[in-house]
Amino acid sequence: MNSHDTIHLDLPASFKHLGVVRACLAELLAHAAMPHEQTVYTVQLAVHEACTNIVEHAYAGHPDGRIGVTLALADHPRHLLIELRDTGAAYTPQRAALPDPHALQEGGYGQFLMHTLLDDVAYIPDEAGNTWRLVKLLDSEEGEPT
Amino acid sequence: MEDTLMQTAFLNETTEPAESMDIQTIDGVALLRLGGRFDAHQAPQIGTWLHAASTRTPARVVINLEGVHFLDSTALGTLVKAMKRCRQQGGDLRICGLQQPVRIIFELTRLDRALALYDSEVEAMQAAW
Repeated sequence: MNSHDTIHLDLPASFKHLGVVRACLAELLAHAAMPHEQTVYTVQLAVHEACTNIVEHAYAGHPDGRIGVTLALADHPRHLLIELRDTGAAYTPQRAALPDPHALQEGGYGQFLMHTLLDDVAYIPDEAGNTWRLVKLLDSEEGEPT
Repeated sequence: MEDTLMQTAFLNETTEPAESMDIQTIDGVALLRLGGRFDAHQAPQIGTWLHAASTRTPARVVINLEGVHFLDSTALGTLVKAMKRCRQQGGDLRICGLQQPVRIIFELTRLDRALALYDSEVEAMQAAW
């Protein structure tokens, strides 16, 4: 992993600051010569959903919560690694199945989107807090979600 | 007067406006044009407006997302909730102007099959209710 292609952020855990993560993702993927608008957008959406989960569930809207973010480009195979850390309550990941569209559920889509749009989604709670570890492979991506 | 009261109540209940909102009522149809992002940060205020707009009978609401460049699952849930309420009130929520890449969240969740999506605002406003 090249330290020149790694970004660390420390954000307040609030919805209004999540645009910072999306902007950094776009910048980093531009450096990775990833020009597909759809690819950049889907990565932004998946990471945004994970951050939203932290705000809503780990901190339950508590204003003093923080999100530690690491974005890194790495090789073998070429991929984007995203780590999100929080010190809030541990979360029980929900099933990632697609909700029945005709059931017209008002929630439950975030986990499905994360697992659909990314190549690996891991949630690791420990004594220090919780970590989302997200991976998006870059070389096989042609602009459409897999 | 009714519309003015509704909009005033809506604005008073919110703390931060969406990046762009334009609200009109045309021939009994409540029309909301949004710009910028529609996500967990904006969803509460937009949901409040949609709730107020769907109290009429029949509740006919059009939301134009042509200017929206980012939309998340919280926004999606807000639209589903409003659509259900509009249909309970004898109307519908119509969504128009979806641009790529925003459209993908509707396709992946297959809600493009359940929600009333229109290409243009003209189509959404003029189609038979």
